[in-house]
Amino acid sequence: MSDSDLTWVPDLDRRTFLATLGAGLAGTGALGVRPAGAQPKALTVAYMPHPIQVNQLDWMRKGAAQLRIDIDAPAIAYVDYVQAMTAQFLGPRNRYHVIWNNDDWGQLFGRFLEPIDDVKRTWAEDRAWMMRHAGKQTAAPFVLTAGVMFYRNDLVAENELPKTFDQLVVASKKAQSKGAKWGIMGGSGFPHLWFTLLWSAWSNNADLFLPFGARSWEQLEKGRWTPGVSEKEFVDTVEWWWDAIHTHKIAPPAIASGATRTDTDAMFMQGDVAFAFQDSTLLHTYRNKEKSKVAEHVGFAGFPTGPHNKKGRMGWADNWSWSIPKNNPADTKKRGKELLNWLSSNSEAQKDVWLKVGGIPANVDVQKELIRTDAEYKRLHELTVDAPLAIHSAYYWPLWPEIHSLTSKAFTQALTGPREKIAEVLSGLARDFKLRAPLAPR
Amino acid sequence: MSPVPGVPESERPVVSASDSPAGRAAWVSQGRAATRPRAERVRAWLDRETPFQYQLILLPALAMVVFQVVPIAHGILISLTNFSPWNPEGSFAGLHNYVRVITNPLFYRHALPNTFLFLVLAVAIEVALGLAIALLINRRFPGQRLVKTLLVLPLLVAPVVAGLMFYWLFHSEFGLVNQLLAAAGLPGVLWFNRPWTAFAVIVLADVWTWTPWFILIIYAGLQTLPPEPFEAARIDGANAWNTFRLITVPLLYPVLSITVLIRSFDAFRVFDVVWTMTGGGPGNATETFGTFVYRIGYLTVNYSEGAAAAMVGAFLIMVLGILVFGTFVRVVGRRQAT
Repeated sequence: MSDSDLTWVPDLDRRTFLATLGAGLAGTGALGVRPAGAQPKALTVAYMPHPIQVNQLDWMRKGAAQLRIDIDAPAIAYVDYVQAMTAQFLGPRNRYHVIWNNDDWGQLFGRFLEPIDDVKRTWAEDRAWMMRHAGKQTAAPFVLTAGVMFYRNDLVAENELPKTFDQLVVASKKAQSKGAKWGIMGGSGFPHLWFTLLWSAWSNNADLFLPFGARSWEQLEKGRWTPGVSEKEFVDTVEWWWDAIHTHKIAPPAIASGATRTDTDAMFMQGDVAFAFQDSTLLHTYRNKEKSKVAEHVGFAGFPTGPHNKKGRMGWADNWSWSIPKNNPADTKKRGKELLNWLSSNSEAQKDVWLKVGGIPANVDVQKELIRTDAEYKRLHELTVDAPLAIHSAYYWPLWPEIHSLTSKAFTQALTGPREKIAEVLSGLARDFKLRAPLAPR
Repeated sequence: MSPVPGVPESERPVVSASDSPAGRAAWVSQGRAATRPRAERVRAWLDRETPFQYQLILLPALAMVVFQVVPIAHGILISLTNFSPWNPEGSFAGLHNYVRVITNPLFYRHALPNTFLFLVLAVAIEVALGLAIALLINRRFPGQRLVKTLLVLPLLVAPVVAGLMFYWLFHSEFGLVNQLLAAAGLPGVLWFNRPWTAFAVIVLADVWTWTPWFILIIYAGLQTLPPEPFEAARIDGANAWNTFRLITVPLLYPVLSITVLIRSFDAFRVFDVVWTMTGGGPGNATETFGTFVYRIGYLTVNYSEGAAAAMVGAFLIMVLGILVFGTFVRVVGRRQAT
């Protein structure tokens, strides 16, 4: 290249270059520095674009307007949640002032969360015990999410609703004979295992760890825990799913490859499935005529029980909450608490959890009012919060995500392999549990 | 060399006595350098030839240190502790995390074999297809420009989007592929329920995404080949296959080698298409090193073990790189010698 080719290059001498570079660096640095005391007046709310949280956010904006607070709400995908929160809690930048906080994570993040004992307590203690750290409440529940069995009431009459696993097979086949492509559908890939394996295991006297129903590390240690996945009840449950897919052909093979909740929603709203296992918070999405082809035919019922069940119909109703990261400035935390106080004690906002979305409000007074005034809510409440066999739907110790992920993989491995290998796959899972799980909270 | 391209130093305006070579020599000869005013001394230092080269690389070097060296060093430190969000102090754990990674059956039974199989299959198919298509478009035909543009379009699609596209194309319920099979009277295939079909779809998605990259670079390489050897071959009566085998490929060897090298590193880290399509399943059948690290580090929130897994991967990539690059250097050296 000749010098004449460089005529377009500005005549930049060394000092100008260095001065420009220095000024650029200084300017960039200056932009990144926030003067002390210049904390934002707005509250940044970390939420997941799920119907229940979108609804809550609408109410937050109303409350914020009354409290003269601006709301900024960047969405976080469920799979990115832990990474985002790790950066929030351990990194130098306080991006979020209010965060969504499921029961799965509550106790894990407790040390990083502001105690909110001064927020008015409107929820039941037995739904929020896992959201405490050092004896202090760190989350304000806004909804109880509960799994249910959605069904198409144009294919299945109310008096034909299955109460056992066997009846579910019969009802599915009957619905398929009426035109449904599949009988049942639910999520099976991580982290959606509640809607296939977990509900059916818990309904069949099987659990990931024994003693059955123990959820905190203390409960497990006290009960001298053992893996429950290689027990007969658990193996029978997985075999039931294998039969549902391969023998009875009432469940789509997509379950065996690790289906998601989104797959379930798509297939149910498309009209391809008679029974869909999902959170009740999808009720009004399924009944939305703009989204669902079966909007006018959506009913819900409790989970069928398996042959080993001894305690009756199983149900769970666990909290999704809002929390405030501790590493925020005092005035920001104060504004956050004001907003959460407004939100959890606002009966209209809490009623909307049910009326617009299909969730169970965390506010006990609102629950009581809805039980009195709304027959459909009353039924949901009986199926979930008041289920004869009430269970918590997660383990409240740090290795739960790993256990959930390992189980999901083993489930798909068992369903895609030969039936006679199921017990072997689950024995391997039990070994993995022993290898990976026996760690006290790290 | 003048610090300002195209402007001889003798023609630069003299700003101060110390700014010209003669002036600088005078300062030194008078032994007054130590007593010059601070600004003069700084200016003199800035004007020296050697420091300016360092000044030029200062910014990129700083960026590398901040965004690569520090995170890697931090990763190494974390891998030696039992750090986690709920144990942020993280006590020293020695090589415990490395032992857990290396003895994890998911690592040596699934992640490593699958990764190497994927690497070999995907890169081999991509380079073969890339070479074939580059040869085809390296001749004049109507619509050549349009074809070239269309061929590189997949490069504009992010791998994660490509993964989702192929997931839905091959979805057992809604997938277009099964619908086409049904329209043709053929039974649908449960693509993601069988290890080998799931693996094949992953390789296919990667081939679709990355073959255009090979096409682009090999085509550019073809454009630079000298015409004389080809004319000589034509005069000698060499057929197309022999011309390709004995002239085109050897001349393209440096280009092919470097593309294979770069793409092999990239394929070793494959994550997006696997995660979006199979999540490593069914079971562990399509687990690769990338998904293994993500699973250990992020899904199970075990950052220390995840960092150890990443370091093991970095070591393996380094060994792979030395082997491939060493082979490349040896072969090219041998060819040049002959």
